Amino acid sequence: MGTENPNAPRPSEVRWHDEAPEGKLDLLVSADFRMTSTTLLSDVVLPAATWYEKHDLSSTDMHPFVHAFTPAIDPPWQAKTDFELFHQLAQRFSAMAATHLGVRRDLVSVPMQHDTPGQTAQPAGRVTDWKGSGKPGVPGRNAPAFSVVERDYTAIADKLATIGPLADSAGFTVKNVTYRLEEQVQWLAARNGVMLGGAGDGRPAIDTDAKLAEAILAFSGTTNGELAVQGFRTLEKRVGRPLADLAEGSAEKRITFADTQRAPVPVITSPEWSGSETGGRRYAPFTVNIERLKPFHTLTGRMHFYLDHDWMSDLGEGLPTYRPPLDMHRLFGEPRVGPDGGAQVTVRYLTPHSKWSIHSEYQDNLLMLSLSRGGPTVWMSPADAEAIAVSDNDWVECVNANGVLVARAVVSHRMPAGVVYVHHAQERTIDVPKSEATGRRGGIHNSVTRLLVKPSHLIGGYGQLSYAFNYLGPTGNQRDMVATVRRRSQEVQY
Amino acid sequence: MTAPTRIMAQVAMVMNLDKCIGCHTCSVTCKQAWTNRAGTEYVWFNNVETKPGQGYPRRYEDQERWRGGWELNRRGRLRLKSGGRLRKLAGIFASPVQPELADYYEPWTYDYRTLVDAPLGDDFPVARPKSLITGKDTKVTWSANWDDNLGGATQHGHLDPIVEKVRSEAEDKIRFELEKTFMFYLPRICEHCLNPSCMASCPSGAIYKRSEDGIVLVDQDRCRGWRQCITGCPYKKIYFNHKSGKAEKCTFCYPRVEVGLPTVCAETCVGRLRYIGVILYDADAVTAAAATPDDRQLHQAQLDLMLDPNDPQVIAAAQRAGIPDDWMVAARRSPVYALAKTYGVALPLHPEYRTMPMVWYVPPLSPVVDLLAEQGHDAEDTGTLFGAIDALRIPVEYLAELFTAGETSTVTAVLRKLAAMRSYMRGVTLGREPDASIPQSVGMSEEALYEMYRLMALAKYEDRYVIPAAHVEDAHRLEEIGCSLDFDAGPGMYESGPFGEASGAPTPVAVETFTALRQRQTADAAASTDELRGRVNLLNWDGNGSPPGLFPQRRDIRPGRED
Repeated sequence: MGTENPNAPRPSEVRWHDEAPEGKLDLLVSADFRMTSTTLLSDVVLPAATWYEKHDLSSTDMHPFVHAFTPAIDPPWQAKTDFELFHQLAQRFSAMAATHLGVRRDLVSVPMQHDTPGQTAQPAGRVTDWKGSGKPGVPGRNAPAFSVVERDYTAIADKLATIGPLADSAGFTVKNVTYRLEEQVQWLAARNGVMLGGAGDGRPAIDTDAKLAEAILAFSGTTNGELAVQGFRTLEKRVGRPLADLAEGSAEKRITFADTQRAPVPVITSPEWSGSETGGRRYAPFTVNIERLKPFHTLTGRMHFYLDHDWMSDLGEGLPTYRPPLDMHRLFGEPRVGPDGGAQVTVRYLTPHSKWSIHSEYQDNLLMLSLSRGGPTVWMSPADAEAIAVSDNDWVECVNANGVLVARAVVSHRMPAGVVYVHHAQERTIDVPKSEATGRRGGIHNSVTRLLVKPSHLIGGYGQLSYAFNYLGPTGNQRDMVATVRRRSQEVQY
Repeated sequence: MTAPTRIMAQVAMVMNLDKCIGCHTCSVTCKQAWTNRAGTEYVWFNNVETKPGQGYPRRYEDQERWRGGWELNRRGRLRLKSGGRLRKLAGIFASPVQPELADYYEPWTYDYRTLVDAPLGDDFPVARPKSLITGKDTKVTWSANWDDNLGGATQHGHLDPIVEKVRSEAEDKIRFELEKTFMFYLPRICEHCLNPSCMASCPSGAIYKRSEDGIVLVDQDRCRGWRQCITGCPYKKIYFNHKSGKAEKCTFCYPRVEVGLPTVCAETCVGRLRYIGVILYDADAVTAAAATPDDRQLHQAQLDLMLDPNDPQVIAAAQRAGIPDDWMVAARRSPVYALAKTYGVALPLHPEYRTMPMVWYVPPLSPVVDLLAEQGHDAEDTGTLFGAIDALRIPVEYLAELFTAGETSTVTAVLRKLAAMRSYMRGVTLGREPDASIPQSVGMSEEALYEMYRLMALAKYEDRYVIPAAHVEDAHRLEEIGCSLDFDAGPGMYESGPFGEASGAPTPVAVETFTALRQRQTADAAASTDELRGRVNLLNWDGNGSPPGLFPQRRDIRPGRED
């Protein structure tokens, strides 16, 4: 914002660069089975195996099954599974580390996390800034927690291939429930065998993808009834509600990798999730919280809407409230929404998930391209198309301060006026010409979007607003942008 | 009823359109299994169309232009719409009326190799489209599914022959406006008709309908490439392989069906909307049924052809005809018979073509439900739904043109049954006292409605696919079973050409595809031109240059261009 708007306030505590510094990555290595926008920029591309060439597990809370990937064929040519790529890299790296890195100790900072004491470290949502205030910074209270970690770079490959000793002594903790794993580690050692020599000497082996899958199944309550019951018993003590009956019927059930290879297997109800599969039910989130009164992981233990954090109050968002889309014209000088009476129309630029791809995967498949428009598209309403004299399948450019997308228009009455759809992750590897606006290759859907972060997104260490991996992050406001659509020369250059 | 004189079994399919999400998995798996070969790049034995839409090939439903199917002559007898035998023979060397490549689409590929080979530069390389026909740069302007999800409908929508028809006849016009949007997907395969006009059109007698299961196939040895079948088929589900010069079509995956497995399209269907089962019919009654004077009575005539597998007379006749007992058991359990005849919710596609098609469709209630939900109504309430079915004339008229030759009352009756099922079962699910008046209002008992619900909503694999296996004692008559391992140069000794049927001795298709796929997956390089005997597999070609064999050799022009 500062770069685009010279009148915007400048930060006073960090040095301001009028020209953002530019650099070059020393080395970019990627593993993929397709040529993508990323591999095209990579110095080294490792050929990866596809889903049909490796062992893996798949599960989701969208359905109550865990199922296996089992190779139909071996990875062709020199392709390797991700598992093997990482292990081979680790082995080479560990050997080289003997003379290069050795053993190091690093200071690591960890955010104050959800389901830890860190989430109550700032009572009433009052953030005491130690910087410039003369007050002390206390790790885990008004600063991240710090710890020193020993890294034995020579042992990385050995450790990668074994279950480490912390599984015995510390167990695994999920959502504040610690699972004791001594017996399971022994079971796994008997099942998978142990590694001999090196840093993982005598520890259960997870040196193949199939063995790692076995370990995952052995250590999760959803696939190991003993752990599910154990977890619920622990939870019962904390919340004072009967819960273990949800899993007791499955106490002796253990799903092995071989089971999942035979057929998808329904999972066991476990405190790792909030739904119930007991009695053949289908998963729905928070079933256990609603029906069994297990407290929600919020400040009050209830479904919780009011946020008394200082920053939320300052923004007037203590309660859920409607916020109109940002005025991109006033803030960033983008054109006003609507046709300009000439060659361009400014629209809300939405990037929903595509029907025929999962992110960028599958979208470059020749068969699917033959069953669609054969390249990137922009879905437009008839009114917007008419305003800039665009016919179905005409080349258009979507432009704003962030970047340019070049694609063909799909004109359909299914689109309301003032909105365009650019489906998610149509990559620029297929049928994307040079842009008229920049003279360079047109971008992807995200070339025109950007994430706008506001202070409330940065709140942490306060109840449900504490960080947890894959659980808390900024909102997806980049999926609703403003961009200008222009009809471009139909003689495109590649 | 009078005893059937020549009873036969037919393997047939039902598709429940409310469940189709238009994912095209069926099309892709079918293409991988059957038409991933040179000469069939543009061919999709199974395709999924968005309706309203022009379909594939474009406007195939316009029989005034394409002359497909049958019509009645002045004496009320069936006659091919493309003309009788004499006219056919007279015009046999003339180009038949049939869609051109542009009506399907010009297949293309991409210059994928550039992504790997492009020299270091300051901009991203890109794979641009290349025509699979000319090998030159191309702009993609039509595809096998161009108007997917009503894309381009504002400009092309009026070209849908049914839209044209409904617009010309109905008081309400189909409008392509946001608030009046309705759409659904229509997956299509060969109809394996009881009265196939493709078969009747073939001057070489190369098309045959198998007596044991009614699957319609093209004998690749007898086909002479006259292409009359392509005109004759009103569904345009016979395709010309421009490499082999012969006609090809959907095989109903007979190598799978013969061993009791569903077709590839059905097996891989994500929405589980397909049902396969056996019906029994009297082959001697087909011609009369197809000659039913009133188009709108053809649906009923088709239903009348379906024999009741519980009728003692039918059972006796079937026994005399040598239909095995397990086929009779399958016929009694047939989900196709149940949906088409018992519950009467599955309808034939374009019965007015008079071919007696054997792929049936449960018309979608979703256009009605969607419009209701958008307007904020309770789309599960019987009264609301019934009212909407009556009021929302446009979707109903459109569906009627597809499935009942325009008879809206039949479509309305089916939609009311579907609505009643939704509504009745919602009450049950919510633990209310089941409302018997709901099934009553559509002329069904509570038990029947519940059974229909089980078949339509819950049916598992073995309920959806009730396919009796072919009998080993018939093996010598069948294409695949029994003999597939003991023909010359059997599996593992792959000597036949890569284009299978067209290149040498007949190779069972299952073996052919299996071996070709294995070869491709295990080969360390792109298919060499040696292996292809000097021809080019366009599907594997990356669009770079024109490899030798792409075009027929000419004396004065050196094949291949140096890049």
